[in-house]
Amino acid sequence: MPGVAVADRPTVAADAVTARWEALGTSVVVRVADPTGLEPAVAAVEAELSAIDAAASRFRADSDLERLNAAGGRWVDVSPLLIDALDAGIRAAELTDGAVDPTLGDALLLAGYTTDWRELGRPPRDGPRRPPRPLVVRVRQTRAWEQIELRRTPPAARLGGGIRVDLGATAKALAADRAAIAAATAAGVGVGVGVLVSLGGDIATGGSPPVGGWQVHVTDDHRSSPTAPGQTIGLASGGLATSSTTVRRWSRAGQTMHHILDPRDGRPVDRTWRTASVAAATCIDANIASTASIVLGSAAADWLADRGLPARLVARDGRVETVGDWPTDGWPA
Amino acid sequence: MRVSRHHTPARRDAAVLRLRRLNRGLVAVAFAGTAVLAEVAAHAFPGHTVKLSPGSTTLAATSSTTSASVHHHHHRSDTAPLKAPTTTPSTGPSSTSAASTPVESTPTQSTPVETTPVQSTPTPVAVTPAPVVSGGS
Repeated sequence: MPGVAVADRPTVAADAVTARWEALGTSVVVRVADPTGLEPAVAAVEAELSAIDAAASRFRADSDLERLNAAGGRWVDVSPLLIDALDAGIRAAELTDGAVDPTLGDALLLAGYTTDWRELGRPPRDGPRRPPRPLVVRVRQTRAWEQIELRRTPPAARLGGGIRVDLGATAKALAADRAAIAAATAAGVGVGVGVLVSLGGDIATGGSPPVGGWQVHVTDDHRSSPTAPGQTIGLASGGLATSSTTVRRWSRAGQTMHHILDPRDGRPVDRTWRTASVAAATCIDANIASTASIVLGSAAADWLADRGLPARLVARDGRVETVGDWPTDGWPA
Repeated sequence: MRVSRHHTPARRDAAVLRLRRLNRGLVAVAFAGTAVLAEVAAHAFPGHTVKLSPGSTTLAATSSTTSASVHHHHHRSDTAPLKAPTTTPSTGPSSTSAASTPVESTPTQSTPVETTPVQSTPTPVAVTPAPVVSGGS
């Protein structure tokens, strides 16, 4: 069953509690527990997304991030929001020992991720593929994120060591958290109106959820229908993120690429898991953990369990493994 | 050979013994001083130990900064850990049949699938909202 189409402007669904549109190169979903809160919630989310786009987009030459990337190691005055986003990226790197690395900007460019992925070459669907050619990969600095320097007052940043920053994963999740807070406030969280915000399948919640929790279907591709192979769960609070190597793929030099790179060699990850869904207290924590799980491969389950993070991991062959308190949905033990 | 009154073997041995004691004392003082200075420095410039990660060549890192306004975040020791959810996800009432199997089909096409746009029809809630989809993006 196909997914639901989205437009550039918010469109209200027939259920009257859901709005969808396209922003930040992905799809946005806002759902409220009370339909009267939808309009103010959508307006609040739009404002947050506009702010994060101006601060942290890699595809806008005028964004704070691109001005910083082009500054040649000089201090650049930036918005407080970019400072927060950079801070979140550094934290992700620290917490994952670099499995989630904000300094993969150059590696992504080398991989051909130079523009919105929808404008990149599609991978071949069928037929023989050209034999893989070795990628030219630059030897990466160990702990390169340590070259990012931040100053809060006045807000400014500097990138040393010739690094280039990409905040794609963490900035989107940060935006979801911020948008959910703003939307819940705008929709009237004080009177119990709950809000769910999904940015490309990375979900943040605020306020009181509906009875039974927010219904969320986890699957490989966030653009899939809710009946796609996967699992439907109830989410009462916090955040949920899914990372997958099955989406945002393109073809380069005869090879199929995707956007989750191994920080150790800058190449697309091709390990144990194709999809990882993780629940956490916030969307950004869930996002950090889901991305790290793809990179960590077979070590991911123990890594997640050590941190008390419920997760659902789907192997490349379709085998499903759950971690911690993730509902097993009646699967055999 | 003429032996000077001031350079007898006994006086020489005594001098060597004093030098040995002095050297030992200096070594002890040096060790103690190093320990004290290390402790002071550790408190003045907080750092952290970095665990060895797979493929990493960095075993440990400590740091210091003399600028109050510049934050070298990679050196901070207060990185907040990942937080587990306060409420764990529950089994949804509308899991698909595919969800009840421990093996999922492999996706054959990652291209976004779209259909006719949903029209804006702000009406009272009459339709049960479909689950929001969380997937890779």
